[in-house]
Amino acid sequence: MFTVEYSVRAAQMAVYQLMKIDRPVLPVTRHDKSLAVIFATLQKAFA
Amino acid sequence: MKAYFIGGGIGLLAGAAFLVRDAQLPGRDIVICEAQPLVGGSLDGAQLANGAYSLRGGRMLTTDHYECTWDLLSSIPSLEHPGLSVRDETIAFNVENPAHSRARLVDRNRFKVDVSHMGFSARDRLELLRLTEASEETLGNSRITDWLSPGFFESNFQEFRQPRLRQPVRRNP
Repeated sequence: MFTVEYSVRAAQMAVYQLMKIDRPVLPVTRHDKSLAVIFATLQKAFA
Repeated sequence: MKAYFIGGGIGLLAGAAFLVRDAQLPGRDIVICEAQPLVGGSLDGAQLANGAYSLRGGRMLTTDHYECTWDLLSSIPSLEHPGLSVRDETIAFNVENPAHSRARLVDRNRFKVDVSHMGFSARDRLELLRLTEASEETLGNSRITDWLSPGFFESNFQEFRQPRLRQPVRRNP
C-alpha cells in the first residue's frame, strides 16, 4: 500500500541525492484532497 | 564504484534498480545482503510446502497512488512477456483477476464479522471530519486520543484495525 510507495520514493530520493542525478522525482499527488475520495469518506462515515 | 545494500526488501531493491536505471551503475557492482532465502522483504508472495499461499502484507497494486513505484515498474521489462513492462503485466493481471472478498474480517470463532456498518455516532463523524481536514501543522505531535473520543475506539472501524495491530507477525500493509 502506501508503505510500498514510501519505500520506493525514499530509495529514489536517496539514490538521486547520493549520485547527484538531475531528474525530478514525481510529486506526491494529494489523492486525499480529491473530491472522489472525500465523497467516499463521507459515504463510509455514514454507513 | 560499488554499492552495498544491507537487506533485500522492496525499498533496497528499488534503490538498486534506480542505480542501474538512472545512475548507469552496472548490476555486477551492486551487492545486496539478505539473511532470508528470498528477497523482497514483506512484499512477498509464495506457495508454501503444504500448498497454501502466503502473502505477509496487504497489496493494493490497483490504484494510481503508487507514483514512484509505477514509474519504476514501467521501466522494468517483464521476464515472461517480451515487450511488456512489469507495470503492464501487473495491470493486465488486475484486469483478469478482479479482487473478490466475501469477508473483510473473521472473529476468533471463525464467524464473519458484519462490518458493513461502521457504528459511528454523530460525534464520531464530526471528529473524523475535523481530523480529515486538519493540516500536518495542526496535527503536530498530538495523539489520536486528542482527536477522537472513547466511543470511536469501540466502533466497528476500530474493530478493523485492532486485530491487525495485535498480530505478532511483521506486517507491511
